[in-house]
Amino acid sequence: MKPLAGGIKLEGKKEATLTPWSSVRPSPPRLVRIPLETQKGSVAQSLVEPGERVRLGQKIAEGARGVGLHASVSGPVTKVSTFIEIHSDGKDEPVSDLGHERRNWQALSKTEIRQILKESGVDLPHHAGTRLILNACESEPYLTSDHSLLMTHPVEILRAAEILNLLFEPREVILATEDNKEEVIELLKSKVFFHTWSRTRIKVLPSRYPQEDESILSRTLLGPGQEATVIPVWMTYAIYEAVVLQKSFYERIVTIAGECVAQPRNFWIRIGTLVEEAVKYARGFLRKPERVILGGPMHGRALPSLDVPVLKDTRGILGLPSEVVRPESVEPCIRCGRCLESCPVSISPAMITLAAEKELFDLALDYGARLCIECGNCSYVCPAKRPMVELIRYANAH
Amino acid sequence: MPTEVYSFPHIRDRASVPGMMWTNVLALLPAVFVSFYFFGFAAFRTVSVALVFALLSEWGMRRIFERRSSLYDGSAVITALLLALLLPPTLPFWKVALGSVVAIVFGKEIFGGLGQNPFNPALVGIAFLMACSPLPPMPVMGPLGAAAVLAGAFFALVKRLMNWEIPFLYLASLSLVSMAFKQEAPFLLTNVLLGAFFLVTDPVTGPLARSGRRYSALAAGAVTAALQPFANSLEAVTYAILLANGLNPWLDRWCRARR
Repeated sequence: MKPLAGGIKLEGKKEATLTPWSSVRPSPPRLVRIPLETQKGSVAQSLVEPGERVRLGQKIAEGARGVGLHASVSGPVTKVSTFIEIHSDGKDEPVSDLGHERRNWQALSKTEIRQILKESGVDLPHHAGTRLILNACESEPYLTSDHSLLMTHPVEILRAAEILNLLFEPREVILATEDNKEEVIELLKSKVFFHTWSRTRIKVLPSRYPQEDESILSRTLLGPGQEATVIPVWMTYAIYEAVVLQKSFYERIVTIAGECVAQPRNFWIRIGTLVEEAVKYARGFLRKPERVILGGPMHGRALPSLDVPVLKDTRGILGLPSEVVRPESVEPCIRCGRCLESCPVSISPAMITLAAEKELFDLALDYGARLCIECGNCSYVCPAKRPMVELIRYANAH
Repeated sequence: MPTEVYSFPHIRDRASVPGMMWTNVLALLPAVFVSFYFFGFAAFRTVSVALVFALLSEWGMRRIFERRSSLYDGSAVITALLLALLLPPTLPFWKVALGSVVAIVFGKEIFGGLGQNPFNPALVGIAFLMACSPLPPMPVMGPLGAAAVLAGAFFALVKRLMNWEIPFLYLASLSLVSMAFKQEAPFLLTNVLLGAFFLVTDPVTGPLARSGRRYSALAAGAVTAALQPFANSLEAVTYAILLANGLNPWLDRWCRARR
């Protein structure tokens, strides 16, 4: 195995949400807004009408390929437009089977498992290659949601690995994690040992961003050109809950952190909870954040407003102060080459961006602009603070 | 609440261009002080004249081209200090001033300022002076001068301003080719050490990729050694590194990525 080429070492800033590492399950939010437009651009069909009462875990919409969306609170549906809005009645009345162990789940067939996952709202990634990688890499600062999940539910995740083993019949199941999670590694290894789950191999990688990127991860583990099915651990846990506990994917673990947050911690957040309400679980902001980010600081999305819902792939909500996200003046490129050193796909960000500024798009593509995975490393390391990612994107748009 | 939407990454490394440049200035200071110690007022005059004329011409060029002032980034100070350290302190002050102005105006600003210049500005200034009339020989500073340059270079290495490979490869190639020519490698000359640690390693006038930088350093070292029999050490270093700078477009084309 070759270590990650390029990449950067980032300050972890994870202590705040790892002491304690457990996660809190707060009371349900006042309301949830579940977007019907999924990220892949398709629009789900609503199965409910305004005024209808829904139960916790009830299927309320069906998206592309039959993947369901589910009510994350019980109560009346108040609006159906580009999203479904449900006001919580605070009772969390569940659908009948929710939380009860499915009888004979070990004996389910492949098609049955696939059907259960679709019905429960788990959108399995594209199946590729002969190996299955469970992605427990979390090298972005602040984020500890996967870390917390692995510490609190290691057996469930390893069980889900067994289910996935049944489903994909891979040659090997690799649980990939990083050396910044020593206690997770110890815990998982002991569980694997005592349960004699020898099919799941724990692989520890050095923590370098962007190790968690799917293509980078499968390349570091298997070498170039080898394809693999990569499933993030939060999805693995949702698979366990769907298959074993008959629980649809309506909540997930989210890190609420950043210097501005009063009590940073990991929380179980219902899908569709608005960011402004989620932040209140962490006792709100101590001071006004300069930027609120959905996801990590390297690859997350800066929010224009706080009435944005938490989605199934939201790992964190960060409130960052001005001294962390301070805008800096842009200087000319001094050709220091740090972007080339940091690039995980070994392209030349400096050459591409210099070409893009001069609108020489053929030259930019010639230097590998299309291979960019937009990890943001070149922007991070650039001492001239040039907008590298934006310029590479600009070159690729032409 | 912020209303503007920013692209990721939302955090940035602490390194900045002015920070790197001023650190480079700090790294040159030991050599500057040792030259004051050896040559007294003559060295002080050379350094001050170079500094004043470099800063003045940079400021003037920025005014003429109506661009944002760049005095704060420290690059003109580096050019002036390198020029003053490389030139013999006995040089008349108007020649130092002329070299300094040529370095900034024709070495850097004419191409668009910091980052755009294909050749090291200080070397352009020196090459211009050498082309006009031969320079008086450089008095030798000896081991103390070499130690001062090395101390500054060590500081720059610790501060990640350069990769150790580059000066190493330059000096290795210089000594190997010198041996082939049955010459003694002039390691202790401050000119050669300044070239190895502060001129070959200049990021702006080197190739982008690490491999390209390696080839550039090897070429510069070999040419420096090859010029030894025909030139003094300053001429050899200057022309060799300028020649290596000229190879950049090709090295950038051949060595595209990190490895």
